[in-house]
Amino acid sequence: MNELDSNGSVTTMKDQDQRLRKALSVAKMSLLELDITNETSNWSSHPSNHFYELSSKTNGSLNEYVDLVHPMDRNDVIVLIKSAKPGQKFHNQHRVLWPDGSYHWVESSGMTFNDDGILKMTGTVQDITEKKELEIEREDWKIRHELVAKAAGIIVYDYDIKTGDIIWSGNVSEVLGFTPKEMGNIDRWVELIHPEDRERAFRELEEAQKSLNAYEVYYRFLKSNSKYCDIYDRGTFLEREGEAYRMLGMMSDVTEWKKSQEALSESENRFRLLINNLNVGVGLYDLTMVPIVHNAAAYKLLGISEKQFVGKAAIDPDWNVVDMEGNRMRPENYPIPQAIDTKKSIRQTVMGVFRPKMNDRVWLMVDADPVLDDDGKILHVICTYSDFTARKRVEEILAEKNEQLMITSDLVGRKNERLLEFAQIVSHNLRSPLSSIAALVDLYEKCTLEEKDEAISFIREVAGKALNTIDDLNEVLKVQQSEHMDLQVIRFEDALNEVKTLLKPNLKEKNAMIVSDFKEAVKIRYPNIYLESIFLNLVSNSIKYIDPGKTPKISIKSKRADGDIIFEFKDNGKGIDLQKNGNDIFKFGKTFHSKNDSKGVGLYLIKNQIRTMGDEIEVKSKPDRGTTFRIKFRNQHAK
Amino acid sequence: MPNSKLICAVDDEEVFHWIVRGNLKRAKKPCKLMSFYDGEEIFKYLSNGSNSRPDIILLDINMPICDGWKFLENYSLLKKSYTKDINIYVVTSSIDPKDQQRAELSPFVKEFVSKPITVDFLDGIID
Repeated sequence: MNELDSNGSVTTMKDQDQRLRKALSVAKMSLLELDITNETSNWSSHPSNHFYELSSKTNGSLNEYVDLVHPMDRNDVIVLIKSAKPGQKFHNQHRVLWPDGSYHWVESSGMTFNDDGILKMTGTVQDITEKKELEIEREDWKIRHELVAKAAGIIVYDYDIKTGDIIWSGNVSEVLGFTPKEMGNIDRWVELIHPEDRERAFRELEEAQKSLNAYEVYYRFLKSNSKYCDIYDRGTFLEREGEAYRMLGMMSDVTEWKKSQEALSESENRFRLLINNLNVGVGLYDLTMVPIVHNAAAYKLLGISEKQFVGKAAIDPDWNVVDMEGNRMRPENYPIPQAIDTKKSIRQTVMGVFRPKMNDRVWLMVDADPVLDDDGKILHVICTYSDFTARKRVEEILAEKNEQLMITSDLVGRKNERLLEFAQIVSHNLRSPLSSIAALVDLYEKCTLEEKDEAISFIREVAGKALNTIDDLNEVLKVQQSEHMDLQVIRFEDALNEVKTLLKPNLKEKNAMIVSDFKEAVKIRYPNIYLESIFLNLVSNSIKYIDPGKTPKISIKSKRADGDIIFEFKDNGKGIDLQKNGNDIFKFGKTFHSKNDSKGVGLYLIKNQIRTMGDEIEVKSKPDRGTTFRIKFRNQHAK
Repeated sequence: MPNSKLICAVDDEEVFHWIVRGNLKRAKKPCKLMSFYDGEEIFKYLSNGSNSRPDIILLDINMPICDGWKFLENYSLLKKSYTKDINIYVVTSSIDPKDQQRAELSPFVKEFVSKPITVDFLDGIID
């Protein structure tokens, strides 16, 4: 170009010119001379030139070229031309309408000089469209990038590995309090890292750089306020021939996030610790009753491993679940399906679960609580299990004790009742002879001799009666004291024969006839003395209360009915008017026939005996029609 | 003894009648005594209009065939004009308050008396 400047002519150096043309063509460049005085333009005229078509279009007219310049740049170009002065360099970029209809960026540079009174601008013009577009795009990206970095609160860096320089952008001042300038180069970066993290951060950087892998590291970084913040740094390397030359990346302040993360994991750990150390089993179930999460106590209580449990159905037929009363529990009555079904908490269900592994039964107190969303839709069921075995055992013991207590209290009640009855008997039946004796003694002192003898004989009689009463009461007491009489297997026939022997004189005297039928129930399990007492009292009553001139006829029969023995005793005696005396027939000291040696003890006694054994006696009778006693001996199953 | 009062003793125990008789001998005023051994006997006696009407009945409770309570039930069947001047004393060896209560609930019973009876008591009721 110097040659061009100094010679002012291009035609003199042909070879050189050829080469120059070629070079200009490849470089999308043209030589240009503007004759401002004559308003003409002179371009490289070879058709291979990049600007050939454009220059042809202008027909060598300066104005026509100016017309093709982009309206936005046109004024600049006009000013440039108009203000051109000899000896001045010029430089300009503008857009021009290309023959294909698009605008191209062109850059012109050169010098203005005076050529024999004619003002000329001579230099080069180059198509810089691609470069310019790239530049614009880069500028755009830079702007966007900055915006994003700012918005994200991150710091962006561009690290030149060779020089160690770093271009900082993004939120540097907001995050760290430093200006990008204060941040400095790579040495400064290392210096600002917390001493304890420094070596690691730097070592990892070197390793990433070597391997060209992404760099990703957490470290503490000093801020302008002398406090450290937690930084997450992530960068990637640009490489040339396998070697990193540039690193682009971002740093973000994760102090808060890290804190909350730590707090979260700590609280999660604490929670896990708590749940797993609970003595109560806790489980989370989905709607198909499949366990999602369980704590250790739950597996332990249910006697299975985590593997056996989680993800499988919550109902294992092997569990053989029973309820509090020991009845088999149907799966639909388990707390979880019920909670799903009703969407309500199912509380305090007691389940006896068989543990196949341990071959035992564990009692669980189970609560099932549905977890609902805002619309009331059921999401999960939380189930807690607590070991109820010990309590169940205590409850069982309690129930046992309670039952014993009830029996005892029932026994005490019955005893008390009899004691009261006994006290009444004593006060009544003993008071009667004693009051007579008292009256007789009182009279005795005022009596005549003859009367005195009579009084003494009455006293003797009454005293004897009192003694007999005491003996009778003693009999009664014996019955009442022997709550647990030994049971013997007795043949009815034998018991009857025993009584026949005892009453032989009386039976003979009255010519009594006894017919018995014990075929259906031959034997009975009963206290021997009771059975004898029953026979003795009934037979002797039948003989005693017979109308004069009548022969006593007794028929006795034993029958079976539903495991009981029905014993029927029938006589042809005087009978008792039950309408008058129904309530009194088995009472102590109640007599129903006047002027007899009856004391009203026999029936009272056997009633007591029969009642003691838990059996029943009933009577049917009419005056002069005889009497029928029916005794129901319970639980006399034939063997 | 046209003015002497008639006492009917109802008791199944012979000794009671003997004691009453013995005591009446020593009473201030002479009395006639009739003995009955159960409620049915005395009721039959009272039902027969030709029999002399007693002034006093000494009634035992615990008797065979027809006890004192039963008798009192039957007694209400008799004409009021006939029974209005008869004083019934329940005389029993019982000291059970329930018996006393029951006796006192009966409109015919003048008093509930626990055995033994004394001359003083008889003097009191004869007067």
